[in-house]
Amino acid sequence: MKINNALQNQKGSALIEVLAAMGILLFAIIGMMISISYANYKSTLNYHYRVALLRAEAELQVIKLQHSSYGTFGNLGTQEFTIRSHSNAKPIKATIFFDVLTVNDPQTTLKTSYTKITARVRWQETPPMFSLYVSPNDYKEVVVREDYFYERVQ
Amino acid sequence: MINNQKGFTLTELIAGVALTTLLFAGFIMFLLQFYGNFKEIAEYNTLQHELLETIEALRYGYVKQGVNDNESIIGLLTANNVNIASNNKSVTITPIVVKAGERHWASYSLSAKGEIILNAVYGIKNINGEVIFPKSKEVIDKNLKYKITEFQIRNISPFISDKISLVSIVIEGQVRFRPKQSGQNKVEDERLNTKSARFETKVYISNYDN
Repeated sequence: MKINNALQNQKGSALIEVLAAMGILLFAIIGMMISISYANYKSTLNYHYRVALLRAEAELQVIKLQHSSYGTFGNLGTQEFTIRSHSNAKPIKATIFFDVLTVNDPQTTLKTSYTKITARVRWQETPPMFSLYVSPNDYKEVVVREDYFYERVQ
Repeated sequence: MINNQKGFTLTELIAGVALTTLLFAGFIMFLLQFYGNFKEIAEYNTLQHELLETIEALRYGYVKQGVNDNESIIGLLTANNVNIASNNKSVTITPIVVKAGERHWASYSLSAKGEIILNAVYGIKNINGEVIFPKSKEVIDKNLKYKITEFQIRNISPFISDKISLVSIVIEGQVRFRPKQSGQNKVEDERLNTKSARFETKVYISNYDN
């Protein structure tokens, strides 16, 4: 009886029902577009992190060579380089900074000191397409560190 | 209302069916595009990941589960001697400690197809033609889906010596998402159908003077 009634129903849909259905569909489509944009952003960011990490590691390797050959850490001045995701992508300017800090910590040991060499790669990322707020100081950073231990002169 | 038998006119039906088809076609196309985009992102991540793994294998050595779990194949970091081919596309690495009568070496090279191939001898065992990049054997347009487009190993040692103390590694790979479409030139094909990733680093051969 119910089925028969439903088949005979000639009422159709009201404008508000159609608009609501369209709204739900639009919401789903926008959600999917945002997720694609975000996944793309994360993939590119991941690539930039890897490039920066390899660059920082490379610099630490050169410092290690300098140290084992001459006993110095060589040139630790700030350097600039370019990160490019792919051949058509806009190049991103990255900067690598070095910090040198010698630690004499009597609480740890009286005989050993060490020098901390820190390489810090910093760059500014292009924000994802649908981001609501973009901070001008939103820098990404990769930090790697190597310690050089030596006997402290008493 | 229940007894209303009016129905739709032919024009209303044609318009309704046409609009519904258009709406569904648009939505399905959007879904396909969405799936395609996600697949491209996933494949680009795979390319990056495998390139990085290749650099790490060159740096630390190669271990394949079930093959050489307990006997590592040497990488640059602990090498004693490094020989780079004149075209900079192949490197052979030997360690410091070798038992008398035993041979140990590992050679990483770029094949014509764009793979990184490992050949190694470790004691009485060996590994031949091991493809360390790419993991996938998928082919598109008669070429590998994932392939190396640039592989350069260079001696950048600051000292004049018969042994190499510092090397630079450049590795660039490409993933092809789909075959080249008719009417596309080389630049358009690369821009629309492929994506590349490039990694560079340096490795200090700390045992070079032993």
